[in-house]
Amino acid sequence: MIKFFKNLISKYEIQNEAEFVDHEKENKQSLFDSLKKNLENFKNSFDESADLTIRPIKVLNTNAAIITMEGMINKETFATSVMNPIVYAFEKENLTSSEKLEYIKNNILTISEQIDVETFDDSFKLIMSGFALLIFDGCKKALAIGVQGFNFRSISEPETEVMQKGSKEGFVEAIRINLTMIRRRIKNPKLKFEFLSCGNTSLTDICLCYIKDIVSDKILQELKKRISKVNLQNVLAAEYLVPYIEEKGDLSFFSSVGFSERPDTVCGKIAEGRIAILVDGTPTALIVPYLFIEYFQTIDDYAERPYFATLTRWLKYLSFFIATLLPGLYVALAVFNPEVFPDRLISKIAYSIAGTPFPLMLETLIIHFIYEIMREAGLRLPRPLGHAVSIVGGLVIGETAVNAGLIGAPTLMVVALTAISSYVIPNLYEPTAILRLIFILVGGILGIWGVMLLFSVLIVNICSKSNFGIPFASPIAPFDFYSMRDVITRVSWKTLSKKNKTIQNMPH
Amino acid sequence: MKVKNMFILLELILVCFLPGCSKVSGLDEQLIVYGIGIDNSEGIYELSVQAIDIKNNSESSSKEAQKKLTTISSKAPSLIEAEKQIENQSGKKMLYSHALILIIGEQTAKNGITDIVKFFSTNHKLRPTVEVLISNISAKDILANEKGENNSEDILALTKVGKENNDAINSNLRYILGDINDNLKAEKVWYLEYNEGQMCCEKISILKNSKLINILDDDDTKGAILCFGKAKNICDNIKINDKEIYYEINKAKANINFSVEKGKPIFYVSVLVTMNLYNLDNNISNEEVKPLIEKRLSNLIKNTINFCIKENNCDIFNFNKHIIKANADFFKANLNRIENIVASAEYDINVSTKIRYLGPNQDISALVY
Amino acid sequence: MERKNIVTAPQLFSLFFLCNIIIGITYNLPMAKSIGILDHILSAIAALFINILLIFPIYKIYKINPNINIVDNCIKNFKKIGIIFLIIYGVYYIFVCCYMLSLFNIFVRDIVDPDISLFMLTFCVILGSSYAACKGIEGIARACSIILFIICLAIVFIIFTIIPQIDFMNYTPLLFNGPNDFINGIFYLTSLSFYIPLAATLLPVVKSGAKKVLIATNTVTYILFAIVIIIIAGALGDYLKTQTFQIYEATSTAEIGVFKRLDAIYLGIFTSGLFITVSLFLFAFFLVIKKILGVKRNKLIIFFADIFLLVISLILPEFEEISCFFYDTKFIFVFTFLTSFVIPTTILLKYKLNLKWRND
Repeated sequence: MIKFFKNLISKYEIQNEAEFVDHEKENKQSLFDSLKKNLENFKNSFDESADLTIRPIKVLNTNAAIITMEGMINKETFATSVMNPIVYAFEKENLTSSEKLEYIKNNILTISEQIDVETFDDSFKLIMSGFALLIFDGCKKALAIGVQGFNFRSISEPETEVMQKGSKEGFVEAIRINLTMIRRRIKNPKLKFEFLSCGNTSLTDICLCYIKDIVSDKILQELKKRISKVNLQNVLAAEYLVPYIEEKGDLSFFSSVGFSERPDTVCGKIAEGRIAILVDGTPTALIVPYLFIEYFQTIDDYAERPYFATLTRWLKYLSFFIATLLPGLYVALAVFNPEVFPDRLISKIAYSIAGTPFPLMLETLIIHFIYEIMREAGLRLPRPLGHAVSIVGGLVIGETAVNAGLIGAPTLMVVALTAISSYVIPNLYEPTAILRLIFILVGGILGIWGVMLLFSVLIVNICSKSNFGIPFASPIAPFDFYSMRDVITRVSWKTLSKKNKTIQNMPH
Repeated sequence: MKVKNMFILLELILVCFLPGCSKVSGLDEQLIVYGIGIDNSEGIYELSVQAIDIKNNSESSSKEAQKKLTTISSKAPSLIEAEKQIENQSGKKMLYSHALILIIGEQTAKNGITDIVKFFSTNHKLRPTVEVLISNISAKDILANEKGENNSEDILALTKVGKENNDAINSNLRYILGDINDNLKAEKVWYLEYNEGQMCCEKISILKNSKLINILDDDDTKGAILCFGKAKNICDNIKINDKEIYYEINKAKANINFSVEKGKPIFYVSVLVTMNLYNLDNNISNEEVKPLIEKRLSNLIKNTINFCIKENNCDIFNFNKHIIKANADFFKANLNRIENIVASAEYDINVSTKIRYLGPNQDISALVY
Repeated sequence: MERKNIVTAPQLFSLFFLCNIIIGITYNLPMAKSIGILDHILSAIAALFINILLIFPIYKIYKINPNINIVDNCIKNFKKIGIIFLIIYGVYYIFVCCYMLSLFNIFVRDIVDPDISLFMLTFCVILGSSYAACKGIEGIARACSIILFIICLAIVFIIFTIIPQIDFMNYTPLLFNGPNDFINGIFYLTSLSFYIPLAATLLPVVKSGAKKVLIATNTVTYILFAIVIIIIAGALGDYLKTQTFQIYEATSTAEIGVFKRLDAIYLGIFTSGLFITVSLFLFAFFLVIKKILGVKRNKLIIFFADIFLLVISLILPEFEEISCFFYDTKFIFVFTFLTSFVIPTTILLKYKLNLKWRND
C-alpha cells in the first residue's frame, strides 16, 4: 500500500517536471523577422483578448506596429512622447530595420525608460506591465517604451499599522510606487532593487530590496534560491511566498518572515541588513530574517521618549502573555487549583459557575468562539452595518447572556481582557488566537501542569526555530546583553546610534 | 509523511476524549469551606463546616456585600466518616483550600487534639496557616449561629486584632503540628470565648501532649506575650497614689539566656518594653512610675512562668531550646530530665522600660523617655 | 563523530544548573535517611568538594580532545568493548529520566492529589520532552535559559516571602544529633549529581569555558542549596519533620497580600524544569543509542524509549520491592560514581596507556 503511494508520488513528480520544462521552452521563443508573423503570434497568444491593442503604423517608411494593453498606459504621454515623434520622424535613408529601431530609440523618443526585447516572453511581460511595444518589420528585436499609466490606489495610512507619530504613508499595490517610497527614505546608491519573477501563470514581479554593503551575501543567495523554488501558478499576495521563504519543515505558529505596510518600518529593517520583498499587487512587504522580539517593536517606540517607549514595550510583553495565557490559566486555576484565588474572589467565581449550565472550560471556549465570529463578521461587514453589529454583540453577549445565566461574568471579563490585549500587538493576533484556544483546552484537562508544560514546549519551539541561520529567539536566546538596550528598555537614540548591529551579527 | 499526519490526527481525536479521563469537579460541585468546627463527646466526633451557600443563588447574589454562609454538621465515630457524611448530605466534595479557622471545643481539646490536627494537615488543599482556636462552648454553637453573625472571617479578624500579638502565639496549624512533634514543647492556642452573643479572643490555652491543660487568665496572657518578646498593643494599668495610670505596650523584646551556676540552672529573662503612658499627673515623676511599671511587668511574667511551667508543667516558651542553644552538651547529658530541669530552674526576670508620655495637660515632651 | 560547537558556555551552565535545581526541589529527608535538615548544610559543602574530584576525569578527557564526547571516546579507546560502556551510559540516562518522572508521579499522587489522570500527565510530559529532545540541544539550551530565568525569579520571590517567617529559635547547633545526618546527606547529595555524567556527553557542544561551567555549576548549586536550607529551616522549624517534600511545604506557607497559597508557582516551576531535564537526558540517551544502533532507526528509538519511560515511571511507585532499591541512595550513588568517575578514569588510563605504547 505504501509502495503504491510512493510510486504514485514519484510518477506525479516526473510529470510535473516535464510540464515545467516544456513550458520553459515555449516561453523562450524569440521574435520573428516578419512583422506579420509577430502580430499573428501576439493575437494567438492573447487569443484576441479585448484589451490587447495593436496599432499598425509606418515609421521611417517601414511597416511597424505598436502594441499596448488597454488601460495600462498613460494615453497622453503615449500620444505626445511616443506616437507624435515616431510618426513625424524624419526619414533616414539606407538604414536597415534594426538600425531604424536604434535610430528611433536613440534620437527620436524622449521617454527615458526603453528596453530592448528579443523574446515573446519578455514582450508579454512588459506589455502587461504597462509598456508600449514597438516592432519593426524585418527586425528580430522590439523596443519596449515605458508609458505606464494604470490606475492605482492613492497613498494613505495603512489601516492595520496605525501609528501615533511617524509617517502616514503606506505601501500601495503598484510595486514601482513602493520602490520610490523606499528610495526617498534611503538616498543611498548602495540601496539595490533586484527584480525577480514568481508564479508560472501570473508571472508576478517581485523585488528584493537591500543595501549592498550591509546585507549578508549568504542570506541573499539563500533567499534567491528559495524564491527560485517557488512552484506556484499564481502569486496574488505576498503571503503566498512565506512558506517557501521559511525553513523547511517549519511548523511553528509564529512566522519568521515579517510583514509591514509602512515604508518607514521597511527602511529601518533594510538598514539593519535585512531584505525586503515587495510583490506587485500587494501593499505588504515581506521582511527577512525576522526575529520574535520584533513583533513587539513599532516605529512609535522610536518616536517617543525613552521612558514612555519602555513602558509601552513592557505593556506589549504583558499583553502578549495575557492574550495567550490568561484564559488557560484562569480555567486551570479555577478548576484544579482554586486555593490560589483570594477568599473574596473565590466566592464570586463559585457563584458565577454555579449559575451557568456549562463547565468552565466549555463556557470559556464558547465565549471565545462567539467573539471570533463577531470579529470576523466585523471585518467583512459594510461600514454602515458595523455599528448595529457592535450593539447586538454588546447586548447579546455582554448583558443578556450574563443575566440569563448562560455565561458567567468573571469568564466574560477574562475573555474581554484577553481580546483587548490581543490588539495591542496586532501582528501576533493569529498565533495568539490559536494558542489561546489550545491553552484553554490544556488548562481544562491537565490544569496548571498542562499549561506550564505547553508553555515550555512553546518556548522550545520558538527557541529552536531559525531562519537563514539566525535564531528566531535572538537576542534573548542566545542571549546578547548589548541588544537588551532595545529589548528590555528602549534607550535613547544617542545610545542606540553608538553601535549598530546588523541582523547577521546576532548571536547564534 | 502520511503515516505521521494520520498519527497526529489520531492524537488530536484522542485529546477530545481526554476530559473523560479526569474526575475533576467544578467549583459548583465543591463545598467551599470557610470554617471548621470539631467536637467530640463520648468518642463520637461532630464535624461542623461553615461553607458558602451557592445553592439556588444566581449571580446577582454575588453582588451582595455579605456572602451567604451555611453550616452543616454530622456525627460519626471518626472524622473521615463525618466528612463523608457531610459530602453525602450536601452532594458536594469538600474544598478546604479557603478554610480560615479550625475551632475545637474545650471538652474535645481536653481529650487531645493530635488526631484532629493530623487529620486536617494531611489534606493537601488545607492551608497550613489555618488558625486553630479552642472555644469555651462547642464549636458547632460558635459556627451555627441562627443570626448568621459568626462568620469565619469575623472570627479570624478577632484573632488578628493586635495581629502582632498573633505572631507571639502562632496558633496556626503548622506551628501546632511542629509543637506536637516536639515532645519537650507544649502547645499554645488562642482561646475563643463566646458569652451572651459577644465573642472575644484574648486568652491563651495551654496544652500538654496535645491535651488542654488550662487557660491563662488576662494577666497571665499578658505575661506570656511579654515573655515571647513579640508583644504589641497590650493595655494594662497600675495604681499610684490611688490613681489609675494606664499604659499601652507598643513593643517588647525578650532575651532569654540560660546558664548553670553552682549546679543550679538559671534562666535570665530580660525584656525591653516600649510603652505609651496615659493619664499621668504632673505631680507624679518619672522616677516613681518607671520602677512600679517594671515591677508590675516583671511580676506578670513571673506569674505566667510559674503557672505554666511550675504548676502545669507546660513549657510553652520553648525554654528547652534555649538550653540547647546555650549549652548543647548539658542538654544531651540531661535529656531524660529536661522537663524537671526547666520546672525546677530559677527564673531571673528583668524588665526595662522606655516610656513615652501621652495625653493632654502634659508638660513633658512626648518623646522623653 | 565530530561535534559542532553549538551551545555557549552560559547556556550549558543554565542546562546543568536547571537540572540541579529540579533535582534539588524533590529533595526530601526520608530519602536522605536523615532526621534534621540543618546538618545538610555541611553535607552540601562537603559534596561541593567531592564533586570536584568526580568532575576531574571527565574534564581531563574533554581537554584531550574537545571535539568528541564520551560516547565517541569509549569506541575510540575500547573499540567493541566500549559498547558496554555506552550501554551503561544509555541505561544511566534513561534511569535518571525514570527517576525524575516517577518521583514526580509520587509527588503528584501523594502530596498534591489532583483530579487529573496521572497517566495523561506523564504521557504529556514524555511527549513534550521527546519533542524537545528531537529539536536538538540548541533548542533545549536556549529554552532553558528563558525557563531558568523565570524559575530563578520565582525562587527569589518565594524566598523573600518566607524570610519574614524566620525564627532564630528554630536553629539548633550543627551536628547536634551526631554525624549520621551529615554523612547520609553527603551520600544523598553526591548521588544526585546527575549533571556530571551528563557533562561527559554534552561538554563538546560548547565552544569554550567548559571548566568554568563545571566549577560554576558545582559551586552555585550547593551554595544555593545551603541558603535555601538555612531559610526554610529557620522559617518552618519542627514542621519540616512532619512533611515529605520540605521545599514544597515551604512554598505552601508563603503568602503575599491576599494570595495565600503560592505552591501553584512551585508546581509550574517543577513541571517546566522537569520537562527540560527529562528532554536533556533523553537527548543524551538518543545520542548514545544512535551510536550503538545507527542513525536510521531514529524514530523507532524515540518511540520505544517513550513507551519504556511511561511504563516504568507509572509502575515503579506501585512496587515497593523495586522502588526501595530504585530510590536507595546507595544504589544511585554507586551508579553515579560509576558513570562520572570510574568509566571516565578507565578511559583516561587507557588513553595514557595507548599513548605510552605508541611512544614506545
